Amino acid sequence: MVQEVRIALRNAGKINPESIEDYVAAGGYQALEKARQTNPEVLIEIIENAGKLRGRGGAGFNTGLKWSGAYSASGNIKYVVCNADEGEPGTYKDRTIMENDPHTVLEGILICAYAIGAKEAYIYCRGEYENSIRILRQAVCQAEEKGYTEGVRIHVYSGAGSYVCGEETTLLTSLEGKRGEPRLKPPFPTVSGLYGKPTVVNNVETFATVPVVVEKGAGWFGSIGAAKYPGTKIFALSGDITNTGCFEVPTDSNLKDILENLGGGVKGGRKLKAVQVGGSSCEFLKADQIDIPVDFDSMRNAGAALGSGAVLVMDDSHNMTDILADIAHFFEHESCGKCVPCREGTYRAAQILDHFAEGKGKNEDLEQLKKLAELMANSCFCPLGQSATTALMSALKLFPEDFYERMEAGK
Amino acid sequence: MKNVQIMINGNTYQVTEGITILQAARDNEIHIPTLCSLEGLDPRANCRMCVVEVEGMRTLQPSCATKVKDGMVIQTDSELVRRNRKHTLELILSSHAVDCHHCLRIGSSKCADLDPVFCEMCFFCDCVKDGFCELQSLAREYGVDVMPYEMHPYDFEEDTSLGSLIRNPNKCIKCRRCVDVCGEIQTVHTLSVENRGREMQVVPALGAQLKDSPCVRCGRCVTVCPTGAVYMKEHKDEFIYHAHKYGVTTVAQISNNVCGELEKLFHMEPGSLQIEKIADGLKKIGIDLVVGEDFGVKIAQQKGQELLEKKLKTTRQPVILTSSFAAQNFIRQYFKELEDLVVSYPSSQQAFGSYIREIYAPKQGIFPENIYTVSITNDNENGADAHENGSVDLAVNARELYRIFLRTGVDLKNRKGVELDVLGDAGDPAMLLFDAMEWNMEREPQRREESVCNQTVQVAYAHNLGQARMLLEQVNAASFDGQIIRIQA
Repeated sequence: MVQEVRIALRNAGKINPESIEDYVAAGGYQALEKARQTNPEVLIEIIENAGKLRGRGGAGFNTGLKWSGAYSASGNIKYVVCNADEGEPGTYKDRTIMENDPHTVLEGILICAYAIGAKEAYIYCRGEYENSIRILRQAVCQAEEKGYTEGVRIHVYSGAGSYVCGEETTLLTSLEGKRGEPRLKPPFPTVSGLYGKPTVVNNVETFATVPVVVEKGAGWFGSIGAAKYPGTKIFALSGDITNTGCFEVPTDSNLKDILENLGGGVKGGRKLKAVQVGGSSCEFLKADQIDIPVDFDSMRNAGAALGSGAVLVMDDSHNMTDILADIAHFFEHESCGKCVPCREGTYRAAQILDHFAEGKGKNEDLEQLKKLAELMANSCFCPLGQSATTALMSALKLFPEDFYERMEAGK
Repeated sequence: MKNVQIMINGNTYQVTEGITILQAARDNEIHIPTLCSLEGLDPRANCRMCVVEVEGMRTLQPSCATKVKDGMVIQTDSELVRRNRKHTLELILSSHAVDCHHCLRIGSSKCADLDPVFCEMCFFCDCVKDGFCELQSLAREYGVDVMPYEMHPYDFEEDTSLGSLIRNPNKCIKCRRCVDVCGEIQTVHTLSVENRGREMQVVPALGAQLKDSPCVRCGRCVTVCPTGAVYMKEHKDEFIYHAHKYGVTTVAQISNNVCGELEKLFHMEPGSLQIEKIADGLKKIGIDLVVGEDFGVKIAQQKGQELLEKKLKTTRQPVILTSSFAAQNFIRQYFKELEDLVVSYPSSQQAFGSYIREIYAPKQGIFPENIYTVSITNDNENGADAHENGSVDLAVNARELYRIFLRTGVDLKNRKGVELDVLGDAGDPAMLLFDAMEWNMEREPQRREESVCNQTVQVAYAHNLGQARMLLEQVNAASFDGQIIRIQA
């Protein structure tokens, strides 16, 4: 039976998040001390190879690789950016971390700043998270007062309510004060990021994990969870499940186990229909597909994605087209409008899915949706558009009967 | 420069390292359609028309923004690529105010039924760009017949506040060429982007109307717009009415810069169209007198030379020399403190207009209300100048003249040419300094030494307003080392 192992959430609920003394008393900022006595190259090596820490934001990119890229990039000015623009529907792990233990995020950021030689760091926080922003700003003041920042300036920046700003190049563009739109890649942020300088962009959960990796060592961290994606991952449970909330488990845990034992099973004793892990831009899993480990690669192999770790549970009372219509409207609302396939495609997808939600779907609509999904996955500028129809494609494959049901209803 | 080897559509090419796939394809005469890309501007990769397959890449890549790498294997015209491009066009057109796509006259929306030549002649669908539209020609290239989506054209109001330069947001495909030309090249920053998703719009800053915006009426947005979203107001009916009107003497001046475009529009050999042939066409439809641009240019330049010589005697330098309407607006707006350095001499259109009205007509005993002046020019700022200052009665560009000719049955290919009229002695040509300048999108101004009033002076030539801004800022910072700045907007 799965047990929670708390790394990023190790202090959550145990300390007062607004007190730096509490954090220090719980062993906080010791990893930073230790890191500052280590050679940056050795430090990055620990994160990159020994620790194999991979980004917790969704893409699963090796964190140390980003750090070493920025470390070896030329130039004196470098930046650390913490992506706290948690916008993926159903994801609230970053908020849980920031509001319960802001200093672990700061400690992770400061370790990274030391490793790559940055003197400036930014936390780009989702604008709606007013409480998180307040707590973070207060924590920054405390850390500066106590001298932990050692001249590294940490700025807490409030986003303005745009989902696409969670995409790293868009986030950087927005941080520069420009319209939130993605940039061309390459160049990648580690070479040319914020204001064209080498920049490391990591997720809140990643930074929250860093101090523990540094403190307890790479060997210890590597022994937890799956070999290729070691450590723990926070899952944010929502939907038709008894216990909603954040649960941090080793990455080799079983999804079914998590849902049944930590989540307490489907609410109201209904039957499980589908699970969507990773948020609205990810695939569905059918009830009989969830007996799998939750690490990044296992999820990929199962035709799904780990993504941000959001887990949306749906019981058998739902027709998938309703859920898809909601998702489509979300993407239509959040498309920045830069490229044609996303700007017009998200609008058309929502329009057609509304037909199904109203029970007026047609066969041609189904065909058009498939074509549209192909176009958007292939031609959109950034990951938002490319993955806006992922859930749709997945539902078309797994639950075609739901579409047919809504077609017949209209006849 | 190092070469790399790439493969496009099965053939191997040696291309320069660091160029884009689009450039490599064009250098080797491989066609890739584009809609937002424009030489001289940084690629935005917005339209997704130029996407290609690159082996090893998960998604299709925009060729305008993807650099070649050694060993790259590229498909520019595969089934997948073509399907995606066509679908992208369908998406654009389903939201576009497509006057042109479904032909009400022949009752069909099939590309095969629409004869492009016929479309150019037909004025039924009332889009100024019908027949010249990049979107329309791509729709034809990809055979976009039946829209798979419900037509939901945008329904915004046209911005006609300037009276000359008109913005029709319903035809805008958000390629943002205009935004970049206005902001990056001209540094006027009138146009910007507001809202997101499908509500995204290109608008003058803060949602103002054009007349309340910092627009200087250079009309470069019109030059680069691939569709009919920004255009100069047309006067076809007015033109033909006055040409035919009994008792009115119509006088036209033709700029050299319309020849090239008219050649293209009439499918003529480059260099085969002379001003005399255009004059022949104009006379055929009732224009009484036709002169070449040299006429106005000479008068204007002599005036300019006179003013310049006077100005050079004053102590403050440099002298900012311009006959451009938009450049004058630009200086008034952004460099008011430098206004006393400016020598504004008339443009050839202004010189022509005032000569005809003030000298020619009285001499011939023609009443002012019976003389009608038309300037045929491709510089859009002249259209705005005619509208706002009344320098001539009408300014018409090459595209509009082409449509007038089609409507009146004039084919320039068949015109023999007539001699231009002589309306008076315009005098000797002015000094070389006043030679015509062509607008371009380069970032750096040019500098040359010239001889003016028997002294050698340093002249800086700004070929766009961005270059002008750079030079004028230098003047303000006292770091400009020259005597004359010439500006073409």
